[in-house]
Amino acid sequence: MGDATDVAARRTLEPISSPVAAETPEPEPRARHLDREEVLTASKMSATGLTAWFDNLRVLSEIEMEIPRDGVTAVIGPSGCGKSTFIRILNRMFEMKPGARMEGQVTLDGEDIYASDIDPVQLRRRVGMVFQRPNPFPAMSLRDNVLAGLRLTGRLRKAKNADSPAAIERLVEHALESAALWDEVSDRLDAPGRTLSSGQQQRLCIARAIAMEPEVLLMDEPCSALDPIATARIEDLIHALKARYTIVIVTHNIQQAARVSDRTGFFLQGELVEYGPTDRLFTSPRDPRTEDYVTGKFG
Amino acid sequence: MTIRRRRRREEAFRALCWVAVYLPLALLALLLAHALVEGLPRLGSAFVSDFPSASPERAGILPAIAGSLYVLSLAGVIAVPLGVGAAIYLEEYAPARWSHLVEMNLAQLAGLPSVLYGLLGLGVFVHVMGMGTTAISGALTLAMLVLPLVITTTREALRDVPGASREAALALGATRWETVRQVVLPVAWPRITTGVVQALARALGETAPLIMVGALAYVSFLPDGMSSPYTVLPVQIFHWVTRDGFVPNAAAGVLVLLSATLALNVLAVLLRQRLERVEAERQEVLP
Repeated sequence: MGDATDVAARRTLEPISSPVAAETPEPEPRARHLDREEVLTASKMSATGLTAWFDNLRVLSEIEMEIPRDGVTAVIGPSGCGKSTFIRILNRMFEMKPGARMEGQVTLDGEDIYASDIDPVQLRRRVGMVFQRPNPFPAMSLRDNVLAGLRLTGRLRKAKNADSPAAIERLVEHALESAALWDEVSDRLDAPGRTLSSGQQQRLCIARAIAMEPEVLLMDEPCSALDPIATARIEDLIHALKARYTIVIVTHNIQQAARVSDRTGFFLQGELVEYGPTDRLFTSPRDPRTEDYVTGKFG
Repeated sequence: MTIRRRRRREEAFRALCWVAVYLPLALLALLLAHALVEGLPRLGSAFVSDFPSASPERAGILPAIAGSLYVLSLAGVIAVPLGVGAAIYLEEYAPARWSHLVEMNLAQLAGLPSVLYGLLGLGVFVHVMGMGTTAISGALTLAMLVLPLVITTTREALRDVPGASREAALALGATRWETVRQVVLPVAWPRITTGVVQALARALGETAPLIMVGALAYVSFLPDGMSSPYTVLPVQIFHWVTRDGFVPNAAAGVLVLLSATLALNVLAVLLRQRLERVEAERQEVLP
C-alpha cells in the first residue's frame, strides 16, 4: 500500500520516469534508494556530518542532507528542532550568534563554504535570505530598500558607467516584478518601506534579496507573521521563483510545506528524521515520528 | 489600627512628598530670583560684548563666552569620534563578556568627581605632555570628562536599532562596517546627537577641572588657537564672586551660563521629540 503511493509520488515529481515503474511496485529498500537518487541529482548544496552547538547545548546532530539545484526544499519540524539553525548554517549567519559552534562540512556547488579561504560576506551574496518577520530598512524608501544590498556592498558605486539612472530604474523594476510587487508600488517608489502592509513588506524583502542575484534563496518561516491572503501570495511567488533559484524554505506549517515544496526534510530535536519527496513523506512517512508529526499528533 | 489613624498617616505622608517636591523648587526659584535681581541691571549688550576690566561697570564677559564656545567645541570634536567609535566597537564587535566588563568600568568613570579629571588633565596634558595651561589642555580634560557619558548614550542608541535590520544587511552580504555605517548609524544618529548635546551641556557648567588645568581669571583677548590661554564662563563667574564689587557681574554671568545650558538642553529635548515621533510612526505600521 505504502509502496504504491511512493511510486505515484515519484511519478509526479519526475515526469520523465517511465510509466513502467507505476505498474511494477518496488520493494521498500529499493524505494529508499530511489529517494536518494532523486535527491542526489544535481546537488546545489549539501551538509555532511553537520553538528552544531550553542555553548554546550547541541542543536543539530550529524545532519546529512543534499539540496538539489532545482525545485523547492522544505524543512519542517516543531519549534526548537534546529530547522532555523540549519538554514542559518547554509549562509553562515549562524556563526554571528554568540556561543555558536559547529562541526562537519557544508558545500555549495561542491565547494566547502566553511573553508578558511571562503569569505562569509561573499558567500552571503550567493546565498540570499528572507527572514521570519518582514524587515525592510525603516529609514529607506522602497527604491532604496530594493537597492540596499547593492548600495551596502558598494556595487552600485563601482560599476559607474553601467549604472545610469535608467539602468538602476530597470533593475528596481525587475526585482519588484520578480517579487510580484511592482504593480502595487510602482507609483510610490519614494515612500518609506514601512508604509506597506506586512505582506507587501515581506515581498519587498524578497525583491531586496533577488536584486543581489543570489543562486540560493533561503526563507526562514517567511509567512509566519502574515495573514492567509498574504501567505497565499508569497506561496505563488515561491512557485514562480523556483525556476530561477534554488529555494530552501523553513516552515512549521505542514500544509505550506505540502503546497510549495518538492522535497521535505523533517527535523526533530536536532536530528534529520526523514528526508524525501514531499508527496511521499506526507502520504506514507517511513518513520513513525514523521507520521505522528504530519498527522498532527504533536507539533 | 483605626481608620482615622490610617487616614492621618496618609495625610502626613502626602504632606512629606509635597515638601520633597516644592522645597527644592522654592530654593531654585530663590536662587534664580537672586541672580535676576543682582544681575539683570548689569546684563546688557555691553556686558556680553565687553572684555574684563578692573572696574565692575565696564567688565564684560565676552572672552569667557568665546572661551566656553571654543573649548567646548574642541572637546566635542575630540570626544564624539572617540566616544562613538568606542561605543560601536563595544556594541557591534566586542565579545559580550569583554564589553560587559568595560561597561561596568564606564559606569564608575561616569560617577567620578569631576575634580579628579582636572587632576588627570593637570598631570597628563599640562605637565607630562607639556601642553601648558592652554585651550587644548582644557578641551582634552573636558573631553575625558564627557567620554563615559558619550559612550554610554551612544551604546544605548545603537542597542535600540532593531537586530532585524542588522541581520538583513549582513544577509545581503554587507560587512559589519557597511552595516553599521549605512543601516545602524542612520537610525541611531538622532539619539546619539541628543546624548552628545546633553553631555556637552554638562561640560559647559564644569568649573573645578578647568580651574585645575589653568583657565584664567582675567583674559583680555579671545582665544586664537589651541595653545591660547583662555577662560570659560563658570571660571569667570567663580573669580568674580570672590572679588569686591563684582557680585552683580557674577550674577549676570550666571544668567548667561544658565541660558546657554538651558538652550543646549532644549535642543536635546527637541531632538528627542522628533526622534520619538519617527519611532511612533514606525511602530504604527509594523504588525
